[in-house]
Amino acid sequence: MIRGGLLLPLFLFAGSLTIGQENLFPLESDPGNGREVIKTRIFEGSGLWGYIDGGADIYMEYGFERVYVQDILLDGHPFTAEAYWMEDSRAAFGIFSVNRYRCTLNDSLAIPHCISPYQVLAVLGKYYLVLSDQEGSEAFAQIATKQLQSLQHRYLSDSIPLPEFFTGQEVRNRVKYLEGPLGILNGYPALSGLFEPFQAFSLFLLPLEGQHGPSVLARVDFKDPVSQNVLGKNLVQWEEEGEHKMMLQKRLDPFSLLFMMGNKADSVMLLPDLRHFEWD
Amino acid sequence: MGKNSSKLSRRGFFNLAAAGGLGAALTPLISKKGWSQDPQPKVKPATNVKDALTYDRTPDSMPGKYPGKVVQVYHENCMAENEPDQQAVDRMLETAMLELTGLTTLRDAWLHFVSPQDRIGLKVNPVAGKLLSTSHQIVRAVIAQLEGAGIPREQIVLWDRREFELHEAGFTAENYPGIRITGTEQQDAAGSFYDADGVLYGEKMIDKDWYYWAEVEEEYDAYTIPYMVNSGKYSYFSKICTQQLDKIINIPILKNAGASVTLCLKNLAYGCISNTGRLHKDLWSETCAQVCAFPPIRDKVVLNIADGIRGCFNGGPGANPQFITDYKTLLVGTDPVAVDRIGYEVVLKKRIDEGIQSEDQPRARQFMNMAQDLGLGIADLDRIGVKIIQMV
Repeated sequence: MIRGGLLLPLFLFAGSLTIGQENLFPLESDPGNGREVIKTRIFEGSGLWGYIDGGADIYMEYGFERVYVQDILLDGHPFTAEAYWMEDSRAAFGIFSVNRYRCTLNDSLAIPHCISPYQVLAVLGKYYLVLSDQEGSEAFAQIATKQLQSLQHRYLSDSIPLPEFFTGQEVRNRVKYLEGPLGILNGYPALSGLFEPFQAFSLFLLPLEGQHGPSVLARVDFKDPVSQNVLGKNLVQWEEEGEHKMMLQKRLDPFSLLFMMGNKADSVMLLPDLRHFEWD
Repeated sequence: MGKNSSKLSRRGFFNLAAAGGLGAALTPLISKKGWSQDPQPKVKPATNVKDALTYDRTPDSMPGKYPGKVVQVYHENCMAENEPDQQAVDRMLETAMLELTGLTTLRDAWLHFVSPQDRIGLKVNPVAGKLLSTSHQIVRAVIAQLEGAGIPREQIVLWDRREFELHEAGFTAENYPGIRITGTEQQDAAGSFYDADGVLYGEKMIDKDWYYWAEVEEEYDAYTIPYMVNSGKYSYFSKICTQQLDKIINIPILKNAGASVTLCLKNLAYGCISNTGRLHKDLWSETCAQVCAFPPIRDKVVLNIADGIRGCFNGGPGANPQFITDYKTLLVGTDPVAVDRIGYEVVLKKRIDEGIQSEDQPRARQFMNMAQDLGLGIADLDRIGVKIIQMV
């Protein structure tokens, strides 16, 4: 929802998928809004390999249904729109979080988004939307933003719940949702070794940069308590192997673990909510 | 294909998991002795790589005439109006060829690898479309220099897996008159993948005498089969490389694939066989290395020209514009493993500079080590001789 010019919290607690989202894509020509669809292609399931070859793997990892690939004219400018219909809104956000990089944000957009010179990324419910302009024209960001403004009004409610410590305004534009080994490899490869023993897991991750170097806060969810145990032990061993390492962890339940690695002083400064948190 | 089957079929460990660190404050997190492991370790599917090793090597077999030698040419001003400058690229390639061979004329340098009687395939990479494919400037430079060496234009073939992707990336008869442009997977003029008898055009392009077998399979739906040609446990080599070419010049583009690179070996391995979708999940590294050990590739690839004029450092192998960069670099060598290793270093430096990762992750180089073990080239950095040339 949008109220005036205020930037609302991007992530609401989950509602149910509502009527209208299924019809969001493929886009139709809309002369009144300056949109003309030139060509539409659809790739479903494993057919994604036929579209982006090896790049399909990570979409499969997160849970991919289909993608609508459209060549369109927006106010006379040629764009490509790729609407990836993912398994759920969490998966759509996950793919988005792995791909966003050096973003400019627009206060008029309440959805997760990332504006860069050649591409605008956004999450609309279960859709991960990529608008691309191969020419990098100056008008691109403006036109793409206008399209998102018109589309987000049709997006009623389907947001992912964010866990504690990942919801604050200062962190929401940096948090990543990583799923499986491919998610880690693409989203935060520094942790690949730590997660090498595991197959099925997901995590919310917040990279932090402080005066003493990088830190990371992560909440991991496994499907079994054995894996949680294994990770907990490996985290302890990791800390013991380095003089200047700091690791804190908290078992939240039999399947979930919250941990922080790096420099404690920096992390607490960046996340005041952690100051009084009771770690294990 | 429903969502559940696609998600369940793709979950799994992608064999590029690597050790890594968290910058200055942290050290690499490598799976070590004494560290707890998952109680059910993953077992790799069997393959028929041993079959490849039964074939005698030839004088042209990988790693070719210059094992471990890579020429890295950097040209500060090789871009003009956001496109590679043709003259600059011509000079970069000429410089690399002369340096690699030590010969004094360009004609001799090219005839060192090919002859006018050879059917020569230029294996390009158009997968990521116009934004991030093998540049036309490097391809035109190669063609011009081959012709200058006396190679008839009709002996040159531009090829890749998918003929339609070549066309979409601008590799067309109009842009390359007199050059045969072809792919394993084809569509007719009406856009159909099937002929009048209902047979896939791609089915006619695979050579069932040459195959990469692996104990892993995936069922493809009707949408996907034209891009895979066949399902099951066999990946067949394309007739383009088994029957229609004598020599192959490999021209990949410098792209990352996670923390690794998709360059010489990947461009060859995944570009020459069918039914590749099943190989990504559990055998990515093995496929890159092992497929290249088979004679249709091992004995025909005489030169690798890695196009790093423009490439990407993240989001690869697809074209994500925010991660595209002008490396302004060509990497040339006969040894695809060594070229991949140096290309990896170029991409790694960029990824570190951009804050994508903090340091080298050895497991990301696993496929290169496998290729080295198969005798296809040199992966050890301290055994590779790199000649770096800076041009302006």
